[in-house]
Amino acid sequence: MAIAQPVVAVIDDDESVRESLPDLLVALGFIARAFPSAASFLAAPGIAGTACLLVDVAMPHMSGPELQRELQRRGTHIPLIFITADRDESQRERLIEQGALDCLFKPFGESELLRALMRATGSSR
Amino acid sequence: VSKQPKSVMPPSQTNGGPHGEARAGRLLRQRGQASTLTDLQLLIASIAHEVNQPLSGILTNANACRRMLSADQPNIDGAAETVRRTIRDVERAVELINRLRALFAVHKPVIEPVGLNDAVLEALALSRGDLERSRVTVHCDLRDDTPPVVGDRILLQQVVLNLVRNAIEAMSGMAERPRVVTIATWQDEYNQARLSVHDVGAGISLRDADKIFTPLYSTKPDGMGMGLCISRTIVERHSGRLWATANIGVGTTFWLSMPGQRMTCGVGLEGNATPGTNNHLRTARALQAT
Repeated sequence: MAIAQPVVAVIDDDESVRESLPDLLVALGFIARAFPSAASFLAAPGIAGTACLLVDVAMPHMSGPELQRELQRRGTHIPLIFITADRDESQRERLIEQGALDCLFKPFGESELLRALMRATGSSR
Repeated sequence: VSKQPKSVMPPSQTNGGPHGEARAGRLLRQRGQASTLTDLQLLIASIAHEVNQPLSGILTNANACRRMLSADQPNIDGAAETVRRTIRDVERAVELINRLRALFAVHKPVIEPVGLNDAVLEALALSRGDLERSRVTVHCDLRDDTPPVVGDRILLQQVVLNLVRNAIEAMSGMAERPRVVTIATWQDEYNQARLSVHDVGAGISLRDADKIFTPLYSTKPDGMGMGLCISRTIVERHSGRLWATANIGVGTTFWLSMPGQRMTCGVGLEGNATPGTNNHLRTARALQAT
């Protein structure tokens, strides 16, 4: 491949998401990294090289929106897509207003995911 | 008959497992006996959340599997792994549904004489915190001669509770006059047990007076619009009626009318009354069908 594959980080406390989503991302041509918590992502080396974040909204200790604010505070601007099992439209609007690129409701299909990722990585390349 | 409001779920049924109905079960346990219609809305959202988790895994694994198999060099081992995880997530979803069913199958309606005055007092005791926080004063005019009705005590208590909460919410954010709910019970000339809940909130238009009872209709920004719909369903299952009118002046009044027990007295639930003559039996059957 001529262009380096974009790295997508999955941050979700649900193990089944951390197992399945990276497999799909790899099959779609991305490099995938999975993290069980916001803290483990923040502690990982080279996070600035991440092309896009897929972040669960409701996580213990540090929630998705809290991670987003922490990254903004640090001046790390990575396109961020929230994923959530709560189909709450007003929450979705609020998250997008606060700078998220999108908010996908679980369960989401491949085309929905791909569309959001294209917007994220397209804007970062 | 115990005055103590009963929990909808016996404790033995609410000991949740490691996951699955965890959030829903926790919600019920935290609220204890105050399992109300508003809680029911939260509960539905929790259940949707819990079910969406395994569904999400299933869908993502299936998509990954299809991609792996349709690649120029199919990744058979990878695909087999996604299938294993799909099966595991399906099992997780089935287990969750079974637990939820066990959780909800427990409450068989108990048909007994219920005093509306008791239902009001119990509902007020359960809403005390809400009332204080929202600075709402309650005036009661509960007549002793209000006939008992026949039905499920917890369901009827939830109807009253929901009407009280509805009144509190109708007056939230209102500063121009004192927030007062007036609750009355009495017996009308047809021996019906009657209840009214009167608020001084923003009120409803004539057009909305019936629409507020339809599912998913809500004038409240964070309401799911299910409470009144469920309340009306419960009341109708008890052979009663629930409706709303706009007050002359300000606010809304909700009216409840149910057959009084004396109207059909002499015939117990176990009695051999002929069909159509006994409100108790009709009510009992309607409730068993829930």
